[in-house]
Amino acid sequence: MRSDDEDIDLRCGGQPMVPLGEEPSAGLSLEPAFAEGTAIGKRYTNETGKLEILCTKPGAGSLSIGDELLVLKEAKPLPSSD
Amino acid sequence: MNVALLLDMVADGLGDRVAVGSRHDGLSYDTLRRYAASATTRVQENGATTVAVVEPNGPVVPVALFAAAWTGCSYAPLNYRLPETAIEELLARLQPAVTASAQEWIAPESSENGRAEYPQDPDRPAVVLYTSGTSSTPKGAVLGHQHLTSYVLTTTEFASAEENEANLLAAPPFHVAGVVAVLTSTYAGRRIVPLPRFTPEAWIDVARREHVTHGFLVPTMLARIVDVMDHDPDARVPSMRRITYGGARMPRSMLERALALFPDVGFVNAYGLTETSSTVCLLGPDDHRNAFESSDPAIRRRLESAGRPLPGIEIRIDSAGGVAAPGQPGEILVRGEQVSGEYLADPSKRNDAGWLHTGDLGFVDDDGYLFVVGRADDMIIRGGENLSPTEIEDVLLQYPGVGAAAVVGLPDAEWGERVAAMIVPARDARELSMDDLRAFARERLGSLKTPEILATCEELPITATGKVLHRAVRADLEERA
Repeated sequence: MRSDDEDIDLRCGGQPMVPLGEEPSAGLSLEPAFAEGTAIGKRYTNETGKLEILCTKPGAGSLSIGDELLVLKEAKPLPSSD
Repeated sequence: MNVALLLDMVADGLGDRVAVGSRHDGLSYDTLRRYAASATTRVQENGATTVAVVEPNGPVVPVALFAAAWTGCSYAPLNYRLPETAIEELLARLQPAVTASAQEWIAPESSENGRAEYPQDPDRPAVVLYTSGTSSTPKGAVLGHQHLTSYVLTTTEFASAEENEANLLAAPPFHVAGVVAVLTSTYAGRRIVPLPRFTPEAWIDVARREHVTHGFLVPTMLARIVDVMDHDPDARVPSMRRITYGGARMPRSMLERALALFPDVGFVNAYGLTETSSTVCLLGPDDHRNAFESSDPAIRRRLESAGRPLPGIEIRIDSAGGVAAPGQPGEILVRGEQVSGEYLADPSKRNDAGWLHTGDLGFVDDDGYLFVVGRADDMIIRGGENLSPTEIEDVLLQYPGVGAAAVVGLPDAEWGERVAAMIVPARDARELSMDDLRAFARERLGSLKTPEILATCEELPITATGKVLHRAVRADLEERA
């Protein structure tokens, strides 16, 4: 959703993510250090807070930039306005 | 990001939950996705680039909206109450278009599983909304997928609604509030209960029957509900938790009555435009109750405020001398990712720095609360002074027996304009003396702002989206003066 850098080394389960429609390389496996899982509809951010990623498909892998694990961003609910 | 992804995510996460309709036999998110995916065939067979809906609220509305997004087409809800020739004219401007049918699109033959692909970033706008036509030709305002998803993701957490929450959809499909309510309710996992035709009695009945918890109303709708509740102590909605109002100015006297009649409901004032993907500022439930219970006039006045900007939204007030200081009135400008300001066949109205001129006048107080004073076009200029019709209307509404009021300026040879008011007597009002009303106004407003001309009528002319047509009131009063 937000990034201060176009070119980031986004990974899931320790493996590089690919653009939609592209096939990931064969033979990749989940790295144990990146296997906490990612939940649908949750937002993830890095230490600087400048990056924000929305998970649209859940899975067993955790998101990271390189080796830096992303953390769950706490929701700050607004009163629904519709 | 395509708005279709919002439905896709919820159907993956909460597939069995009821998305639209009654608790017992409504469509689930999974079914809604299948219907939308199935409707894409009908869109593609026609080679359409627009999916129009000319229907009142019903399950076909979300199906058409998401089917359009799925195929990268624009969704165009039209005012079904317009004369047939006017509808045909609007449709002609949207060709090639396909019109969604409540009968056919809600009973799909195919067994689509809804997993079909859709474009990630469609070139066409997600939504085309014809503005309510207070000007002569309706303009087609367009909202892109990026504008709408920005609004949804700023205001709504995925699947955050409890299973028993339900949103009574009373804003018509062609009102921006009717469009975004479908998107945010879906993303939150909050059941939509469509109300095909609004009457205050129907709103109360359906809300009671369906255990509705949330609802958006334009002020004229809320005024009519309050009126019914005032006369019928059984007309109550115990399940209601949140009422949002917006789309036109809410008179403070009306809001105070509503707060008293719904003591356990959180009220939200949402200020926004069609061109800004709806809400850009909101006054939340706590602000309402604190203001309602306060004896400090400065705090109590917040009931007239549109609140503070959403995260990521900037508000600026421009006056003749540049950016206005706190408390100084001027035109409201807005900037942010959800702000479109674009129209069919017209360039964006945003300036190079991304600011959109709203045409609304207002000011921001020391604590950052926005107060909307009225439309720049409706200001009355008398003897070089700018008079706000809403300020005068609010005073007239405090007089017992006044149900509604619209204030306009009429030409005046000496002073430029003179103040005239059209009054709708309340339902149970006894004889209403115009002289007494004038004296009441003079005491509170002074002679400059006191209406010289006062006339009554049975109903104010309003647009299909609930805005008072000041132009029509002016013409009527001019004829009578």
